[in-house]
Amino acid sequence: MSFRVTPSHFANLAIRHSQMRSDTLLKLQDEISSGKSTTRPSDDPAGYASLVHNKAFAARLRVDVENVTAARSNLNQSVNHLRSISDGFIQARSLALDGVQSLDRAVLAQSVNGILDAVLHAANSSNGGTTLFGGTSNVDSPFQITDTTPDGDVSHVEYIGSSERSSIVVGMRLTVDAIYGGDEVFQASDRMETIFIGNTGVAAGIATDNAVGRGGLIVRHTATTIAAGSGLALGSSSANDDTIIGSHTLHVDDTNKTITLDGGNVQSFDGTETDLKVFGLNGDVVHLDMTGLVGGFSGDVTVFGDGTVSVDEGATEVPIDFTTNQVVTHSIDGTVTNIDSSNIQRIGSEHIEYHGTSDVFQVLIDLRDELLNTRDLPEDVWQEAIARRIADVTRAHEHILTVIGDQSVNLENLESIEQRAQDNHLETLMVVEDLEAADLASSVLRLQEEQNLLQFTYATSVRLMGMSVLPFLQ
Amino acid sequence: MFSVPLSGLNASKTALDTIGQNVANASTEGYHRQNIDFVSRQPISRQGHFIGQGVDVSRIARVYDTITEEAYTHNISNLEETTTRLRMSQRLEGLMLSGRGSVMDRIESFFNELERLTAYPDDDAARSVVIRSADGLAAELNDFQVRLNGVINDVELEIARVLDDVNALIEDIVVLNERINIAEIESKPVNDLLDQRDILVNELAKYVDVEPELQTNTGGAQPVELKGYRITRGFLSFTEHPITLESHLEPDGSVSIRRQGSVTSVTQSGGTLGGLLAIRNGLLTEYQNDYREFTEGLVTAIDTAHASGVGLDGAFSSLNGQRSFGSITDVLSDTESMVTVQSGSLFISMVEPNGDRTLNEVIIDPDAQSLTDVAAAISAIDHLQAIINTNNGQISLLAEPGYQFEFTGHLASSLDTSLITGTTTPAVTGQYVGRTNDEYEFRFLETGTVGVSNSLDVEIRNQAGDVVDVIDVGRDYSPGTEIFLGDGVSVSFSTGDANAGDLFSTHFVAQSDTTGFLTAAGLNTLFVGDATGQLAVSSRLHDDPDNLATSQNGDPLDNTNTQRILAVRDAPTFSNGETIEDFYLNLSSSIGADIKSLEGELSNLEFLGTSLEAEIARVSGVDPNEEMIRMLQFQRAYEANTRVIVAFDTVLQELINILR
Repeated sequence: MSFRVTPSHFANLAIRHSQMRSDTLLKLQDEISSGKSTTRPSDDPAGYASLVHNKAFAARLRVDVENVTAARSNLNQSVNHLRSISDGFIQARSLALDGVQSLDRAVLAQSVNGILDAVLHAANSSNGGTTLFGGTSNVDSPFQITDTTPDGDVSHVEYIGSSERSSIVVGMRLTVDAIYGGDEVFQASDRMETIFIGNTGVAAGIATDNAVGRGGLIVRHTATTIAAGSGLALGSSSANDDTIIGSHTLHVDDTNKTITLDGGNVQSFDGTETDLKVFGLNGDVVHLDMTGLVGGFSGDVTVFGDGTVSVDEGATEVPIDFTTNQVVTHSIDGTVTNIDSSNIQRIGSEHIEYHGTSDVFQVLIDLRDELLNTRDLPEDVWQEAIARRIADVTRAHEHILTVIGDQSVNLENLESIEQRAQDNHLETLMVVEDLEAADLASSVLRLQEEQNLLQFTYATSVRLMGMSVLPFLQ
Repeated sequence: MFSVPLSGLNASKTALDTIGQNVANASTEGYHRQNIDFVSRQPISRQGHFIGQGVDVSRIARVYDTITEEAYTHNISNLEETTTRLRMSQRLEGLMLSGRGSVMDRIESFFNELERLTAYPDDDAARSVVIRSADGLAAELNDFQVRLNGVINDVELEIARVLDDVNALIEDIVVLNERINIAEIESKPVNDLLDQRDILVNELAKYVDVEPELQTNTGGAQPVELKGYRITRGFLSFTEHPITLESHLEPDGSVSIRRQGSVTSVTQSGGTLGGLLAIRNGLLTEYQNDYREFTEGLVTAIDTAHASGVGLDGAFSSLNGQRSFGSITDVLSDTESMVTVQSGSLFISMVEPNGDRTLNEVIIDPDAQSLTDVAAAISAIDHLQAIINTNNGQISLLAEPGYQFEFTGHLASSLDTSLITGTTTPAVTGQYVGRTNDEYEFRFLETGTVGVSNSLDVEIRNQAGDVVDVIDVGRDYSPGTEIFLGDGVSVSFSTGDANAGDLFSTHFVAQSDTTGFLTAAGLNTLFVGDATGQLAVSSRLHDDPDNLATSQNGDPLDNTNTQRILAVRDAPTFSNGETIEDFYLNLSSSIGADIKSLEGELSNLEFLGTSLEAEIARVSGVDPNEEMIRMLQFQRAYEANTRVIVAFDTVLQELINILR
């Protein structure tokens, strides 16, 4: 069998190779013209997946950066307002200190009122329609004035926003709290021992209260009992007008017809009194029927006053149990006040300060009221109270500073997140460029090479197909 | 005397004719060079000598290499199959491109807009943008499905067209066979007919795998002769009678090839038809399934997250399911629905007119419960009614006036304190942000008074029985104060007594629907419709963008649920742990890899084809130069024979001259 190379074979080969070269040249032209080497999965299956992933990641990082900007805007505004509040508290503290020395406390109180208004305004501020201290609720004016003094000054502020922080997504599984709950910022509590201001003898109990702000305690007398043996009996006004609570001592001297209560002033009697009002120290009063006194009796007689306590202005009264921790519940709000009733001596009213539980607004309200001495405290007690108000202002200020610090840390984090996102964005774009972009130098060289090969294909085809026996047949 | 050179003249003339035919067909596709075989005539005895009688043409034969030709035909078949697969794969690849407006682009755009929304969650414009991007995503998911279906339809149409061509070719070949048979019987030349048949066979090989069917020919000169042709790998053969092939849609959705009138499908590979069938029943079906899995996975994950949230208006008074169940009485596992309902719990919160909230668990067992049963279980919740529309298999939920419901899984306002013998009242508050559902049990370890006793320990255990914490609510505890337990929740105790052993428990719900029922029913889902090209954003959201469930508590700036939906982007949504992006990129990468592989395969087949063509050309091709030389050879032979005749003529003339 003979083997031969036919012109058809030459032609087919020439066509096939020129097609192959042209195809490669087309791809190279596309690469060089578009500047992209990978446009379809089949160009580079693994590279294409990476390319798409990185492009998507770059777009995502762009959104992250936008969200960081939005979060920063809110936090910056928030910090600015908190700084102005902080300045207000510095001023309030200064006013309180002035108040300790000055007698023109009403003017100082007015200044505190101005600070309170400014703080309230700042607490209700917003940024582009977003309330800065309303949590997730975004209500207008989350801090509402719910009560005023007869003079029209703010006496109570209530928060109607949300306790939840609003967070913004700033990265993969990364969020930042951009809006804080107002209660968290302005109503934080750092409960200390409850203060009782009064002379009933009540003290703070052992357990922890849950009432907040300020309150009042009323101690009332219900009944008096006298130890047997002396012949003394209770006077007719005893039930209603005795003021003693707990154990007290009467000293009776029938020989000299004198009687004293708890070592107080000596009072005379003639033995015919049926409702003798005996005064003790601190204005304690007990009413006695002296007619039954045993003749010639001389000695101490114990009297005991029972009573009740109330923290809801008398709406409910709890019998005093004279223990070191008696739980007294407010019938309206259900809060609990723990008292040490073991040393209650007399009836009366106590101011209660649930120390450390007043919110930012209440601290300023209390300071204003203290400067006005709305509770009519004696000077020495007032001095103690104003000292506590100064401590409250300091505590509230420190809390505001803590929130500023917290938000500043968030801002600082956002800056680093933004920086990182921008770096990542740039890096990702470079990766995209590497994956997608054509190596122009290499492509141009390959183009030249393919061009040469195509020319060789044409040249060899023409040369070989031109060879024939025909010219020799002449 | 003249007969011998005359035979030479005739032989040379025939040879020159053959050469002429060869040269004339040097570029004719499928032409096989013809060779002339001479045979010396039997000599006759004359005067005791055997004198030759000249030359005869024994035959004019095609030069044909059976093995190479068969290999070439097979290669045509393989080449066309690979070309077809490559062509269709490239078309599929075109669908998977990730440019602007592509599925991947729409997905990323949706999630990016959703992420942007976290900065302005109550902004109407931003909410509308998210809904529009969801519209775009749904439209692109549908369009992709439509385009994919379009490719499938095109392939099926092309199969039908190819079958028409195949049937026509088979008929042509059968007709040609008949002509060849007749010509052979009449001893007429058949070489050109054979070439024509080979061309038709190779043409047929472009569509189907075809090979000659040979049989042993005991009576003939050749050991084997052609009986007919086998196609489709030998399952069908034809010789004298044409066969007609037709396509058939199998119950499993695949397309098969059958002989007309037959109920049996035949395996087909090779050629365009083989390539089309491989693409139709293999790659396209696989992609259709994968794409459906992808779409369902994506939509289900987003819908499930969306269903557990609420819009800016908070809880619902009523909700209409927007997806249908195939049956309302069959158990759910046997019922057609968008999502397969799993065994698990559905937590429904009821919000009472005073704002108090109860958390109700509905246990769903798809193997035992029908839609009607689930509706009954939901209706067992106080103040809530589930209604089934028997016409369309959709379920609606309706709360009594003043009551509302939602699926956030929020903590109940009050706890079941039936196992607390003391007077203290516990409360669990906050918003659980743990990753999995859990149930905590709180047990007093001591007897005492909350906030008063020196020590009053409460042990907290999770569902697994592990001790999470022990807290002291004695003297140092301020009654009512919340004690943070982690994962967003706190516990508090009112003042009062408790006895050792008193306990209560509460569910912490991370996923309010572990069954997929809400998504299957289209209750508070972002999308409606299914993954067959019918997806759309719920009309509830179009009617009011506030219904976009970005929140868990209805607050305008609460992004909790947006973050849940966003978490879908990076979550291992698919059974093999792939994220949405992983799954999609694997789809596009695998088609890219397939194309790469097919391009390599095609290149090899082209190379093999070129080699086989060269081989065939070497054996059967016409080299004009060779033919020219042969032409010179026979031209000279012709001239020589002429000279012999002239010589004979001269001799005879001399004899005649003598006679004159």
